[in-house]
Amino acid sequence: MTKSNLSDYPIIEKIEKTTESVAAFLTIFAAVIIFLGVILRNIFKTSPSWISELPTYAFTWAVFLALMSAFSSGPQLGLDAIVRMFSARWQRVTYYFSAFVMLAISGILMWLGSVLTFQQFLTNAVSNTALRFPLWIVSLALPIGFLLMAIHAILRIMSNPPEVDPS
Amino acid sequence: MMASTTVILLFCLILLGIPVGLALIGSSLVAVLFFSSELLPSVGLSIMSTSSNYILLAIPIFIMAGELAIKGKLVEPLVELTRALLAPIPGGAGAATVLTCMFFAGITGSTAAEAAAVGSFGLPVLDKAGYPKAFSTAIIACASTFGILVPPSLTMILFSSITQNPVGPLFMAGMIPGLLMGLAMMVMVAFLSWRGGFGQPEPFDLKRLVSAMFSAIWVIAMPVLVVVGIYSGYFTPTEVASVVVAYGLVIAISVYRVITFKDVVDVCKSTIKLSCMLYLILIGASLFAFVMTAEGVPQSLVEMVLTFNLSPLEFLILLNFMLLILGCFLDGLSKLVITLPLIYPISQSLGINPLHLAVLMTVNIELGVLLPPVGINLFVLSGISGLKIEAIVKALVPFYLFLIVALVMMTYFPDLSTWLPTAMSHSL
Repeated sequence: MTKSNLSDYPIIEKIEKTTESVAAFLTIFAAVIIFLGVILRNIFKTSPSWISELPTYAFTWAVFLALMSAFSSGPQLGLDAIVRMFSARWQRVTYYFSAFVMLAISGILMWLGSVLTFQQFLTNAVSNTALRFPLWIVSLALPIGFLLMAIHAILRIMSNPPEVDPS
Repeated sequence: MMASTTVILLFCLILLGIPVGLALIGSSLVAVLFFSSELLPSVGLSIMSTSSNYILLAIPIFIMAGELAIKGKLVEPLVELTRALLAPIPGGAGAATVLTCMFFAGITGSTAAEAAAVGSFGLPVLDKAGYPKAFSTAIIACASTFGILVPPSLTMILFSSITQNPVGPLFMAGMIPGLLMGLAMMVMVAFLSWRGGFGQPEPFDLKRLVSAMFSAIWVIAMPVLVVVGIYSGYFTPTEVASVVVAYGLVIAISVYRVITFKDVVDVCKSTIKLSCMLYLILIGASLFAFVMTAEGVPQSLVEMVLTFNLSPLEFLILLNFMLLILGCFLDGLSKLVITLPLIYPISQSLGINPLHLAVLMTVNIELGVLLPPVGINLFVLSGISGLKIEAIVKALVPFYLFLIVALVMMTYFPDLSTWLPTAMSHSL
């Protein structure tokens, strides 16, 4: 129901594939760092604070970078049983409505995320651990992720809705 | 006004087919924008604190373990072992499938992953043993729901994150109910198979059993690793997830030799896509809870329930009804994250043990994943078996009754959920 016609937009397709691969890498990176923490603590009897901090930052980036590919080809966790009972015309209307809602949410969150990132950058906010990690680097994932989602929403609006289910 | 607008808008958006995560975020944002714009700056912070929560990191890593188990075909040795063990008894092939699900539940923590994994390997086996497709699909649909009751249950991780209860005791709370339900279901499936004349008992073969045991021992070690690792205090749930992934990768590469580098990349990609959608729901739920708390809704609900003078048992019965109805419209995860922030303060004011509440909500979710029109297991298994949802639902009728009886038992006997974690905390 939600597949966009990506092949018509090679640049977008490339962006989606790249962000998906980077997100996949960051996910395995987070898992490896956590595993390393287990080894360091249980074998080498040391437990650096960044071991629990770095994976959360990596995974935050992974989640937001994957937003575009998740909406394009991931599992759609929602209720479409009611919509499938609508006529073909109304199914098309809800398809575009859904894309506009997605665009509006992306826009608002992109703005809120940018404000947060900018504030943290200006105030030099860092994590309250030994790592003193600049928080704006983590928050930057928010506007970038929702920018990707906005691009996906625009693509949906521009593309033809998929075949509707007349049953 | 802000809270009621949020709730009405949320359900309108969900009914219009907007993904639940987006519906939660959208309705909460509208409420904040129009009714309480001074809260807007906190929205970004709330999103960041959810997405960088260390406990929640266990969810994607356990999803990765489940995906790895599917790609690494780790369910195959389990199917062979349980068949060698139980096929000699009448109805044993069906009971063996339930046992496979119980073992596999200790690896995945997610019902859909379990239904997909056991369905792919278990259905052809039951087909060959002469079971009607609808019945074997119903067995797997129901038995794979145990994945969210026993450790590493993703539902319990979420419950822990929302209510700030430690996840170790929550994992243990699901153990006895999970094992009892599994055993009872094995007996029920064996009886129904025997009565229906499905599948003939196979002769007992000790050599086959020993060989299957040697082959499956590496996979059986995974759930053992989860339970022992967490409860011995050696690992946190997030750490044990990474250990299970590392272990699963090692045995898939070196013992079973079935996984390639490309498979690992695919596992990572499907993990992040599913996790991304789940995180969107979690982010939406945190915003929803933020709006509700800002409006003092949980407190008002507590006061309202207290005026009715409900006993804890009466409240739990009402809760079961409400969750069952919601289960027809919302998937399990969404149901949990939307209702828990409202239900938890009420249950606390009535003195209900959080472990008891967690198990009840999980059994409710188990039922929900089997209920049309949104039951995820129905869709997963319909895809694998090629059967229509209606056919699976019809075959599931005895299993619905089974789960309802289990729910009633869990409601009336809180000790089933609370005994093990309490006993283990005393022994430590």
